Amino acid sequence: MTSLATEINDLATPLCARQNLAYARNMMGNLDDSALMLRYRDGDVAAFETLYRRHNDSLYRYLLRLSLNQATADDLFQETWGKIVKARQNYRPTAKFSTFLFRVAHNCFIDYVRRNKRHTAEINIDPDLSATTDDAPEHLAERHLARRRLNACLAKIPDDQRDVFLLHEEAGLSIDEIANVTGVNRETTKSRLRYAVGKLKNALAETE
Amino acid sequence: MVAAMYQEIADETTPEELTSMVLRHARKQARGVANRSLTWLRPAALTATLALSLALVLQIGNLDSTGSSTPKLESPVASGQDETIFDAAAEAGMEQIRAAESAAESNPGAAESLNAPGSQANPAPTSNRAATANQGCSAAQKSSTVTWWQCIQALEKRGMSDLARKELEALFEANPGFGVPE
Repeated sequence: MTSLATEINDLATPLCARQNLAYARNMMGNLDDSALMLRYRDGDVAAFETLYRRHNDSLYRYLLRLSLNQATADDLFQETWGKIVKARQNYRPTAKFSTFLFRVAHNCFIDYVRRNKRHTAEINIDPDLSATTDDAPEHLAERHLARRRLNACLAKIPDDQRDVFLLHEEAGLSIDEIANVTGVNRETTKSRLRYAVGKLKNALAETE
Repeated sequence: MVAAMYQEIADETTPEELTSMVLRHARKQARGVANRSLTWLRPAALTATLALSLALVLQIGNLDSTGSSTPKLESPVASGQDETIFDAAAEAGMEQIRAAESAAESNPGAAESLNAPGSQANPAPTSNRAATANQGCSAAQKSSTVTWWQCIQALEKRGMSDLARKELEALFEANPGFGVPE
């Protein structure tokens, strides 16, 4: 949570005011992404850093579970942000920044698959990634197992369904936005998401 | 259920070394833009300064070639005749001041007489208070019978009898009840 959001939450305000603040914060977040990008275009590096920190973790997790390979995810992550930086001069806020960001990331993955025709959904992700020593051992072990299960289940579904599922869960994109990112129509996107969720549900049930 | 489970488990964060690389790259690119702007800015500023200096030097050179060491101010006066009008108007103003001063003088033998405005040719210098051959009493002098009479007397004393008589006739015409002081 950003420091501004924390500050807002700490204020003792009535519920309706908090709701308004949350709504305004949500709207402001969407508006601010484009404004931050435009500021970075004009040379404000701090604006880029703010923008980066808002989206870096969700983007990383998207690429991590899309590619199911940590090294690949690292490369694609750098490549995506590199393209964002390069595109700043011609950036126009015609859509949500997150849609733009994940479209670039999605295209980077597609290009990677085309370049590496031998790409397979072979899992190479450290289940203990981002684990800290503050975590209790039993909690660490539990999370370790849960992540391995999740990654294994994700590896069983096709790339395009996994892609749609991750865009929905990590990027928070709507069906229409996902259709925009992936370049397919709305109905295809809906069916891919439905299949992905159904298969994951079955796979998770099997592993229990 | 699947979404909830996913959100609970998938909480990895970006490795710090990746973040450092991305931000370093972003800063470098932004500096590149700023430097490119500065690169163009300095020569442009220098060129503008040189052009301005050259224009100024040429302007001063033009002024020197016309024989004037100082730039001439633009005057609303378009012709020599117009200049004469302005001079005459200034002269008339001075004469009004002088008339007021002479009216305050109690000595009827004040020898100074004032130039009457009206002639637009060769206005008299401001230091010369003698009436010219074609000038009578000024409007300021005519504003009161006392000063008008004094003017007439001055004209008479100077030997401008015809002019003095004309002024006297005008005085009587304007002031029928006027009585010559003894």
